[in-house]
Amino acid sequence: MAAILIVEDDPGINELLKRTLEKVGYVSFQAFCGLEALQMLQKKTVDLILLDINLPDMSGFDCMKKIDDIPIICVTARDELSDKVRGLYGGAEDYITKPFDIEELLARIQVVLKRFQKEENGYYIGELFIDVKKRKVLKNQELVALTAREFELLLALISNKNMALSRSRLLDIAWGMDYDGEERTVDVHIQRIRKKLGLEESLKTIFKYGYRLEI
Amino acid sequence: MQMWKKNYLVIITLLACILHLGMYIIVSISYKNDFRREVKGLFYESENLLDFWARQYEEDGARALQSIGQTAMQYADNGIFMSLSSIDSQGLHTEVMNNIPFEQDGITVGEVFDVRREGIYCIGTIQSVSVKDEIMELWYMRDCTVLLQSQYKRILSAVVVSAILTAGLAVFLYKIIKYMYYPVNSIAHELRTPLTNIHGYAQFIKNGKLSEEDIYFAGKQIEEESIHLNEVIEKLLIIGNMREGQIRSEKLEIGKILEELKGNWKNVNVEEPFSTVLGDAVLVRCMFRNLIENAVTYGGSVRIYEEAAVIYISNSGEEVKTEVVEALNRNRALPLKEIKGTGYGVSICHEIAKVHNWKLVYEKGLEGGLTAGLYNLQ
Repeated sequence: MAAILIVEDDPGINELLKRTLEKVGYVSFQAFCGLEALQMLQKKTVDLILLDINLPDMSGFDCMKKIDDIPIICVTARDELSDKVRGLYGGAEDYITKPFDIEELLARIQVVLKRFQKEENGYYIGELFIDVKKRKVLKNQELVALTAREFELLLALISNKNMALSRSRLLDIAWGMDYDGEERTVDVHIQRIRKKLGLEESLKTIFKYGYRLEI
Repeated sequence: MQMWKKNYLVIITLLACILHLGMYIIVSISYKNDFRREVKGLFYESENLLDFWARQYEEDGARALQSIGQTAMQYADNGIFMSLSSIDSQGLHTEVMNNIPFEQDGITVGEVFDVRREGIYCIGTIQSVSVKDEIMELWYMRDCTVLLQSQYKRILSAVVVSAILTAGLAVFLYKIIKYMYYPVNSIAHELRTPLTNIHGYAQFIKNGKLSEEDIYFAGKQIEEESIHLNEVIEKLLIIGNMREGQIRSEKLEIGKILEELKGNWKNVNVEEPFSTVLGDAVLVRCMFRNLIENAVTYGGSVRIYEEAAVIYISNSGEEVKTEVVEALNRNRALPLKEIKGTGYGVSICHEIAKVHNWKLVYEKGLEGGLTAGLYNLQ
């Protein structure tokens, strides 16, 4: 999985990001100031940086200037348009303001990683292998026939493993934002995925919310 | 755009309009007065002149007309143009003299008119008087180009003065409004950090597959951040109340307050005696709590004592940079790395001291550390 550097001076938020990213399967590193982040980048290979703007020793904008070739998502309380524009022109791939939604943050991380082709090519879950590039699923080396929507749902659940996704979010991912159908449609497709892939135990229903793939 | 900036723009636009309108009214009134004076002079001069000539004509007859004509021509050098004619009983016009540069029709006797041609601006009138069996008619025009030009200059000066005043006011108001809204701006940032924690950990609990440790940690974070959030709100409410001037005044024994407060920290030495002062108990307690808390946070042991009606709270921590001391005294925002809390403590202390007419001054300690002195207590 991709390695993400968290640069955030508030220990609580830094820890929240670390725990969330690790639950989903990312490797994460923590830095609490700009200098620490720059030093860490010399030692570690990082695929993405989550960067706060208000850092104790230097501003995130200054820190950004010293970083090359690594995509950055600004995660900050500064929600003024001028800051957003400055961040994006300064080289950030995305800009998210506090307080943020974990689901949204994870979605943005995935989009940026995909854009930089740093997403996973495949995932192993027990006897299953999900080939992302070829869009096929093998169970004990045998191909399992999934519809396009079932595959999208599975992919969303895997890339957010151990974190619940709401029905509406799953509906958006597999059917698109314009789909007006009922959220219960998701339930039918999840049932089918469970049966086809034998995920009855690990693909949990979260009461009144959605589903979570527990690995 | 932030709300305070919108408010600022509205206020400054209104002020600029009022200022420009005011200047326009002043300039207009002043021009109207000058013009009225000119018209008054015009009537006065033309009436007197015609009366004088009429008497001359009555006495000397046609002989007078020649000298009248010559005199009238000399007036032209002073920017006064005239046309004098006599009308007999059969309505026959005889022109005595005429040096009026512009033709003007449709004017009746006693009426004021103005003409603007070839860069010259004139105002004029017609006067008539009966002499023998004739009527003498005088067209009298005065060159008022200078008046008009001075009005143009006045308008230009008014625009320049209004623009300078507006710019000055704009800068002044910007600073004032920014200062007034400073706490509001900071609130957003100050509240967002604990809110992000609470919101994030709540989602973490709701969505994540969590271990016992995860649940405990997230719960602890939410609890701690709620307390932090409450502290920030309380401090902001205190600032809000003070700005509205809601303070009560009563006799306070500072020694008692300090004795009660010192139990919250170790290494705080309260050296009696202390004066009795007049003030708001809640605010004074809050101020001393913040001052002691800051002194403790910045290290070493804390000593509180009174000398010559000044209460000092000093600590024996590391030496503090001069620019930090200056920032503390000017109630200016400190660099983030120098702040070890919400950053509102010092600001609140200054506000509380100010509403009591006291003065809070920070100084470098003689052997390191920082000393806060509370002056003007009496």
